[in-house]
Amino acid sequence: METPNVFSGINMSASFDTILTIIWLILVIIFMVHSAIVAYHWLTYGSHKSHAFGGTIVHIGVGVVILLAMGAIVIF
Amino acid sequence: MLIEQIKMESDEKLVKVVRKHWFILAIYIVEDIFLALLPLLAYGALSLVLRDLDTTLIGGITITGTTGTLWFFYLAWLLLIWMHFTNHITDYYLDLWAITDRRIVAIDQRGYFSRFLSSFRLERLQDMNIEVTGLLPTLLNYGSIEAQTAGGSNEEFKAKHMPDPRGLKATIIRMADERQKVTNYRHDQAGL
Repeated sequence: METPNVFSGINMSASFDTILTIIWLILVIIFMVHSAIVAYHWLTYGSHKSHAFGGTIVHIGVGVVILLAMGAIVIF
Repeated sequence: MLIEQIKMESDEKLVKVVRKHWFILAIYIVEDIFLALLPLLAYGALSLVLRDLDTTLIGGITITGTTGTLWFFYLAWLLLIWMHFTNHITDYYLDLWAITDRRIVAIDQRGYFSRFLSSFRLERLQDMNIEVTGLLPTLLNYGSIEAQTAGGSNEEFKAKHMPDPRGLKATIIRMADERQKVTNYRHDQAGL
């Protein structure tokens, strides 16, 4: 008697665009967590509020621009 | 912020905040710029090699992927390097000596969520040593500074790559002397 394949009927294949999208989403999550940790450390332990705030804005700004460019490549 | 973290006394004044020498930050920046450009250099070199070999190296492998996909992975690399650079900046920015008119607070940031904060009162300062070794530290005037304190624990405070260690030592010793005078005066007043 033939053993039924429990995965039969499930399409396990993924297009290259899907893989890129998954990579992008993973990077977004990593960057968000990293930014939260950086912002916490700079704003809690920094010596000047303006420096810490400015640095956090620049860090997040550059990261967002890179992630948007990556997202645009995936979409278009 | 820093002032709240080191729990300064009501009439205590923050005199100076000293971080590592700017050259250490410059090394971090150059390292991360090199890492950011590394894929472009590798791509350029590989393109030249494969073109010279008529794109038939190792069974006809070519690097003619779609431009968009290559840019996607390059941008992903740039994002990781950017986060790496931020880690360097965090290490540089949060690793410091805060010198007040009463004590020295040494903060050693060893990555995220790993922070060592130690302090000693200036009247406990016994000796200070500085060490400037090497061509670049001598030319750029940076080095290690070490403070030895009196007391049961016989603690030592050491920081590497500090700018102008001689000047810093002179400042700390001058402030320790002033603090000693104030403490002695108060003891004399109490004795009268």
